[in-house]
Amino acid sequence: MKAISFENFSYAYPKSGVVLEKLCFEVEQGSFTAIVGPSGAGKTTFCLAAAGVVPHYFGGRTGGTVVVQGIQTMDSTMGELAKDVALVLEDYESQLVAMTVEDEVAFGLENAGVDRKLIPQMVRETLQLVGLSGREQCEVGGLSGGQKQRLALAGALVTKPDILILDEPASALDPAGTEELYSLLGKLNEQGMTILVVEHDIAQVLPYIDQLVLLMEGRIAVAGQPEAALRKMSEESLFQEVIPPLQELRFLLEKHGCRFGAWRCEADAVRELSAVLQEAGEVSRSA
Amino acid sequence: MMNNEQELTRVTVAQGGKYRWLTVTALLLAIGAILRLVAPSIDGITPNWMIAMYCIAINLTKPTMGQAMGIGLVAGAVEVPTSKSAFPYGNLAAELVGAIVCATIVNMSFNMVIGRLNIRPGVCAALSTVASGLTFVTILKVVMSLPMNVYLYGMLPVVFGVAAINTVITQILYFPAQKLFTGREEK
Amino acid sequence: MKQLAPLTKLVFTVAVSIWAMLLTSLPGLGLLAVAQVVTLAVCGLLGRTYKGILSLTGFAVVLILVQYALGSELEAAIAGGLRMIDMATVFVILLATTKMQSLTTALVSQCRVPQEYAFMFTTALRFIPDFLAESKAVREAQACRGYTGKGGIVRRFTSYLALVGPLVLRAVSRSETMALSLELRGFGAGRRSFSTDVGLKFRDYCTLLGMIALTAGFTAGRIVYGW
Ligand SMILES: Nc1ncnc2c1ncn2[C@@H]1O[C@H](COP(=O)(O)OP(=O)(O)OP(=O)(O)O)[C@@H](O)[C@H]1O
Ligand SMILES: [Mg+2]
Repeated sequence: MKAISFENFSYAYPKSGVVLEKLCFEVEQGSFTAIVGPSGAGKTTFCLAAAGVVPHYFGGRTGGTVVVQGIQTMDSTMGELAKDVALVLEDYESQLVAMTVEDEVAFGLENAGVDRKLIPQMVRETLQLVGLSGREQCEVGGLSGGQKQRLALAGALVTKPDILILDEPASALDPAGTEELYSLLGKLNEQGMTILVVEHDIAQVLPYIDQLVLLMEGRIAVAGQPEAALRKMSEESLFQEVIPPLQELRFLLEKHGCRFGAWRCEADAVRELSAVLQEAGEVSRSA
Repeated sequence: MMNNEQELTRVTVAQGGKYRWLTVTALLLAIGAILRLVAPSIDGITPNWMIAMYCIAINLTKPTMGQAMGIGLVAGAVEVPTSKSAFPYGNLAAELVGAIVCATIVNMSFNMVIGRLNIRPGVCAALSTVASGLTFVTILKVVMSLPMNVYLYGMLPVVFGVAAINTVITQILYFPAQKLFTGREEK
Repeated sequence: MKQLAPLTKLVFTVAVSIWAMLLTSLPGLGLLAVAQVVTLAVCGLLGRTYKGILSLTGFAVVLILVQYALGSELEAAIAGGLRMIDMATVFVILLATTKMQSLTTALVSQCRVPQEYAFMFTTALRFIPDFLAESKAVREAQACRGYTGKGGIVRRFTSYLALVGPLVLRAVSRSETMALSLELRGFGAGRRSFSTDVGLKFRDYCTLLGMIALTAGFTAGRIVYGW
C-alpha cells in the first residue's frame, strides 16, 4: 500500500480557476519527499489535499482521487484522516491555541480522548524530541519564532501519525535551526515516518530525501529520485534558481566528461570534487 | 493527454468549516482585550473596544442566539483577568446583554441601508453599547445602592458618549474585515 | 486554597458574592473584605495581588466620595463601596490560586459549558501577547510615517483606526488557518479527555459544606435579626 497516492487529481477553490491539474503521484511508505515550486504553483494546496482539507474544508471542484493509507479522502473526514496524517501549516503561529506549552501539546491528545494518565508522559517525550524540554509551563505567547515552530511540530507529532506533512517549516528559522529541524525530520523518517515537506532550500533537505517533486502551475513538472530530478531541472532550465550551486557545478563538470559518485551533503561534495580536481591535476601533469 | 478538459465535480460543504465563527471571535476578543489596556481615549471618552469587536464578530459570523450568548459571556470573562475589573458580574452581564442585542439585530430580516451603505454594523454597535452600558451601570447601582442622581447625571451620559464613538468605529472597521472574511475573488 | 479543586473555588466565588449581598452592616462587609485579604496573605499571594486590590480600593473610595458629594448618606455609600471590594477581591483570589487550564477544564467537564467557549476564552488570552507585540510594531511604523496621536479630533481618530484596522485584518486572516488546524487536530471530533485532574476531594466536600452552612447562617441572620 502506498502512503499517499494521487490519481488524476484536479482541484479548484470555490472562487478560483483550476489550481491542481490531473496530478498523478505516489509517496512510498516510510519515504521522505520534498516539494519545490514557484510561488502560487499549488504547493500548499497539494499539502492540503493530502490531508483531506481540500476539498473537505474549502469545498470547490475536484476530479480524480487522493488515497491516503488506503483511505479515499473524499469518503472520509478531516477528523478521521487526522489519525494518520499530521499537517503543520506555514502560518504555524495561528495553529497554537493553548496558553501553555504543555497544554498545546496535550491538545491533540485531549481531542482524541486519550486517557488522562497517559498524557503527561507523551507530552514530555514529544517536547524532548523537538528540544523544548523544561518549558512545559511557559506561556506560548512568550516563545520565540523558532520555538513556536517546534511547538507546532510537537503538537502534530504527539499523536504519532504515520505521515507528517510540513509546509515551508523553515521560514522562521535561522540556518542552524533549519539544520536542526531537518536532522530531526531525518531521524523520524529513519524510525519509519513518512514525511513530505515543502522547502526551497534544497541543499538543506538533500541529505534526507528519497524523492524530489517540482510543481509548476498546478502540474508536476518533474518528480523522482533527487539527483535525477535535479539533473532534469538543470537540463530543461525548470525553476533553476533553487538548484544548489554545488549541484549545478557538478552538472556543468559532468558535461565536460567528469564522473562523480553520488553526493548529498557539502562534505561529500567537497570530497568528490577534490578527488576529481586531483585527478585532473595528475592528468595535466603527465601530459 | 488527449482529452484536455476533465470533468470536475462540485463539492459543497459549509464554507470555512465548523469552527471559523469560533476562531475569528476568539481572535477579535483578544484584540478587544488589548485595546482596553493600551488604547488612549479621544477627548475623555474611551471607546468600548470589546463591544466593537464582538459586534464585528457577530456581524461576520451570524451565530445563533445561543452562540451569541456564549460569545457575550466569554467577552465578559476575558475582561475579568485582563483589565482588573472592579466589578466582574457587571462585565459578564453587560456583555451578555450586548451580544444578545447585537445578534437580534443581525438576525432581523429587513435591510438596513442608507443609499448603498449597509449600516447594520453601526446600528448593532450603537444599540449593543447602549444596552450593555445600561446593564452595567444598573447592576452597579443596585449592588452598591447608588442614588438616582449619580446614576442619571454621572453615568448615563458616559454610556451614550461611548455608544456614539463605538458606532463610528465598528461601521468603519467592519467592511474591510468582511471583504477578507468572505474570501478572495477570482482573478 | 491552592489545593482545592477549581469547582470548589468557583462555588466559593459565587458564595462570597451572595454573602456580600446578604450582609448589610458595615462591620460585616468590612470583615468579609479583611477575611479575603487575610486568605490571600496566608496563601502567600498578597505580594502578587496587592496592587490590584489597592487600585480596587482606590476606585471604591472615589465612588464613595462621589456619592457623598452628591448627597447620599455616608454609611450607605461606604457599605456600597465595601460590597464592591468584597465581590471583586474574590475574583482576584480565584485567578491567583487557579490555573486557567484547570478553570476551563472544570467549567467544561463539571459545569457542562460547551468546549467551544472554553476554547474561545483560552485562545483569546493566548493571543493577547502576540497582538500586543503587533500593535506595538504598527505604532512604531506609524510614528515613522508621522502619525503622532496629536492634532484635531479627526486626525487622532484616523491614527487610531490606522492602528486597529491592520490588527483586525490580521485576526480575520489568521482565523482561517486556525479553524483549519482545529479540524486537523481533531477538535470536537469525538469524546474529549482532559489532561488536568479537577475531581473533588474530601477537603472540597468539607469546604462546600462549610460554605452552605455559612450561607444558611447569613440568610437566617438577615431574616431573623435583620443584620
Ligand atoms: N482559499 C483560496 N481560495 C481561492 N484561491 C486560492 C485559495 N488558496 C490559494 N488559492 C490560489 O491557488 C493557487 C495556488 O496557491 P497555493 O497557496 O497552493 O500556492 P503555493 O505554491 O503554496 O504558493 P506559495 O509559495 O506562495 O506558498 C494560487 O493561485 C492561489 O491564489
Ligand atoms: Mg504555500
